[in-house]
Amino acid sequence: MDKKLKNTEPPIWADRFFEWYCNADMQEEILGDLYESFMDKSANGHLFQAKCWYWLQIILFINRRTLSRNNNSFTRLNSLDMFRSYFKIGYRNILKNKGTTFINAFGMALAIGCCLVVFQFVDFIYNMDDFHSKRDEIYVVQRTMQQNGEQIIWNDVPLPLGNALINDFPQLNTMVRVNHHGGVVEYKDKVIAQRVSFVDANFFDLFDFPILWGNKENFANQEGIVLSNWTAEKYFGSKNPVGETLSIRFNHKGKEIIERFIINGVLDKTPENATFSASIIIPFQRQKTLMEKMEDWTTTASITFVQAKTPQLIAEIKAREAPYLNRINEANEDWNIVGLNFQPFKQIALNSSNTRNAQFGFTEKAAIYFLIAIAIILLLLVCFNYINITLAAATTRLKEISVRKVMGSNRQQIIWQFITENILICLFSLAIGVFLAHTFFIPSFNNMLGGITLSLSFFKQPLLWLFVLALVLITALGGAGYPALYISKFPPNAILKKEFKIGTKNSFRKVLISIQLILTIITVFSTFVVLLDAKEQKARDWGYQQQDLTIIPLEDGNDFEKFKNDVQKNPNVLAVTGSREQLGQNLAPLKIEVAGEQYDVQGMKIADNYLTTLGMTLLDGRDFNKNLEAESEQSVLVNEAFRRTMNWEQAEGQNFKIGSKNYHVIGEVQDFHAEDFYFKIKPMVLQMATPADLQYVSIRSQSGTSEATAKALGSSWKKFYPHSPYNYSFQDEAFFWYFEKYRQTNSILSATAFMTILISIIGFFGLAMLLLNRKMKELSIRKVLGASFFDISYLINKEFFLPLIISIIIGLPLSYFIIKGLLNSVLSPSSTIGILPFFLTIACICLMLVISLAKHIHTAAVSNPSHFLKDE
Amino acid sequence: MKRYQLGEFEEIVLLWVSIQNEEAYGLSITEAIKEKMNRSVTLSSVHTALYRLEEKGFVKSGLGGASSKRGGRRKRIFAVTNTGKDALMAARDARDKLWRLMPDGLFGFSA
Repeated sequence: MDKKLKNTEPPIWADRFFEWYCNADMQEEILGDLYESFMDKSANGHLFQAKCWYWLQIILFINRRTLSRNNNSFTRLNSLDMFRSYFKIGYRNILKNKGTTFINAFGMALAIGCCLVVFQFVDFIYNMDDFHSKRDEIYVVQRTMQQNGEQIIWNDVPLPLGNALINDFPQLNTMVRVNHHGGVVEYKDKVIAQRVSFVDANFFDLFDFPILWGNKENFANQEGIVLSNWTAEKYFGSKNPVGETLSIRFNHKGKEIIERFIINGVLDKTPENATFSASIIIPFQRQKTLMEKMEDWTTTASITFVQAKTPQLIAEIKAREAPYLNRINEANEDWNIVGLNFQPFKQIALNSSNTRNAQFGFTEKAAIYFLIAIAIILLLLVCFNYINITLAAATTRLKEISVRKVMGSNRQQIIWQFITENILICLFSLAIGVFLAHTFFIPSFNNMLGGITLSLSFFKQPLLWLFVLALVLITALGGAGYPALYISKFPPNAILKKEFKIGTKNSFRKVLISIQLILTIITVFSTFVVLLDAKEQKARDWGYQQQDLTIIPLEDGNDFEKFKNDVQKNPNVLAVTGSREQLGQNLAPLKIEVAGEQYDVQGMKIADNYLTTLGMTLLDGRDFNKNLEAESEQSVLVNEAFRRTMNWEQAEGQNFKIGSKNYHVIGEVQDFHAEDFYFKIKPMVLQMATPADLQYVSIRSQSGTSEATAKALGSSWKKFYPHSPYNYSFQDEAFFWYFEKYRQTNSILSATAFMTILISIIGFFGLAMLLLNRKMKELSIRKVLGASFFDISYLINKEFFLPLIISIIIGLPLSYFIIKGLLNSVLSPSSTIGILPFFLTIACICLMLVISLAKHIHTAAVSNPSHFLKDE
Repeated sequence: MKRYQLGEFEEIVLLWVSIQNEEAYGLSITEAIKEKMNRSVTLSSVHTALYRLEEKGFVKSGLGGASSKRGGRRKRIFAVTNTGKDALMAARDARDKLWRLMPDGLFGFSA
């Protein structure tokens, strides 16, 4: 019954809406009429129609008269006037307390500036490749391999796979393969070794690289090629090269092929957020004439893209992938592929850091989380500063608030007043923050990372506006929310009668100070750990002499001996050797069989005096001897890690199989780092290289002369390899990126630590200033009565001492675990955290507090007590 | 003679207020116009007219009794004032005067 009655009521939201907009004086009679009418209408059962009619009526009643407000009504205030008043009061307050305002605003500006940098970076990463209009539909086909109990994703898949996929699933709109290949490009007198990319004819249907000269549309039909902007510049300077001819020499399985190409188009500058690009783009049909291996499942394409309109299609292919896997595994016995991986192209930058043979620029996810964490920490710090300072300053404002309350303000209004005040400060800091970010933070961040140029462009990024708005609101509410709630709750008469003192119980403040200190400790500690680790890594022993080692890539190893003899005539050259691999660059996995069991190890092929030239130590047995015929057929050297893995007492004299061939261990080499320190030293097999194997010449020169020697050797090179470009590099450059990552992490961490320290100092300085102002009378009396300098400084330090102890006890272990866990991707697993960072952090934090408080202690200690006592 | 501002619709509403003497309120007038005059009209336009009439001093109002039929809300009862009566009379006089000027036979009857 009751329910039925309720059901026939008019819609309650319509009533509420009406009550909201309508002048209170008219509401009753109008609603009464409507109700009566509604009841009549719903009586005949058409409830829904009645309700619609009711809504219609409510809407029809919106007019000037119902919207008007009587001036004598007390129930509603004009909120516009109210806010104007808030802003006025806020503005006056800000001017009145210039010191604290400056402290709050400056700290906030720093934090906001940093947040903008982080936002720009994250925005940049998430909009990678967005100039390709089909970006969201593109997937990269990758293969997942089971290796040593781990699933590892490789970016290259067999060449025919792409074709097979698009034949079996015609719903895939497009399939494009990109195959990078080495080549030597010749134009007039310029001979440069360069990477060229063979692509399927529809490459430019899928990717929207902007074009500068010529065209890319007829790319498939013509015999031409397309160059990137910077490649064209290398050969032709700034003039338009369309129609010119380039010859490119390929070396394929020992066979030299020279091809001539007409330049069809030149791409414009690659957008900065491109994850991949190509310097010389050649249609695949030209590769056929070169290598004619398009149907070979053992050769791979560097990248295979497919375009799928829906993710369901990808899921469908994934569900029917088994035949492909079998096909691939049949062709490549040692691969053991367990699945295809369709990597969405739009997330390729975030997901490529662990992909082998990845052809895409990438960012570690950890780095992004890390930057976001930094932004949040900085925001927290400034909010805490604001809370502390506002609460400490509240004593002076309590009277104002009480008077407001007596005059009729309600609590809500006082809360809004505080929040408005903070919004004003936030807006002010936002202006400074944007300025700081634009002129200082973003340029230095670009420097730290190198290679990207972020900039604030408010016109192009609608999201940036939203972010800035959210930032202001979060900081305003985070900073002023608690103080507003706290201060507004006291009864005015108690305050006015001075019955009650605020801020005598300051455990809340101590908690905030502790959290601030803990956050600071975390950033400072991590900075020290990474700084010290980087220093240690630089000084670490590689297991061979990395300095003064020049590496020259060879195209053809057969002339190696002659070249070597010529090079040795240079007085600065101490030793020369050759190898198939360069350390740190391209180490191949090798499958071996020991006593019937399979192992995955690393394999290198080296010339006879490789060990002595690189400065490796032979622990046991003997080095290769080129005069022994059987050497390259049967003898191998192994490293310590190999012996340990096999549980051998002694390596020399042992036997194992590579494929079906039997090999004999003739010696053991001391462990050396073939990869960077991030990787553990793996078991390694060193085989004697045949001349045809050799791809790199390693030259040990007199200390400090490697640059000059390398240049001087150019003439010997010309003698033996007149048609090949002379390239050299130095072995220590091979690990440039490894240390570069350290450098980047270091500079970002140092900047963060500096920021947190600066913001904390600012905050503590302001807080101490306010506290001291309140205590000055007490201190003066104490001084008159004979308190010493230490008593005075103790009284001031008291506020910070307990939080300091607590934060050190909690903060140091916490940061230790954070570093251990979160930054594992930054530190190499072999790094250890010594005791030094702990001491440095404590020292740094104490120093920070001394800086924040020194001025105040000094003021308190040396000022004339009568000055503070006589004012009343 | 005093001039009264009285629109056509306002005149109808005012007439009905007079007819439903002491019983007139928004809904009753709306329904009367709908039923007796066969003219479609919304509550809100009637209310607006009533408020305008009150502003002009042609009607006076007071809150009447509440009833559960109205969800416990009171009615605003309207009654015609003397000015209102004068205005109605004036409107009628003006019209009568015109009717008297009508030439005989045009409508088939004598006015």
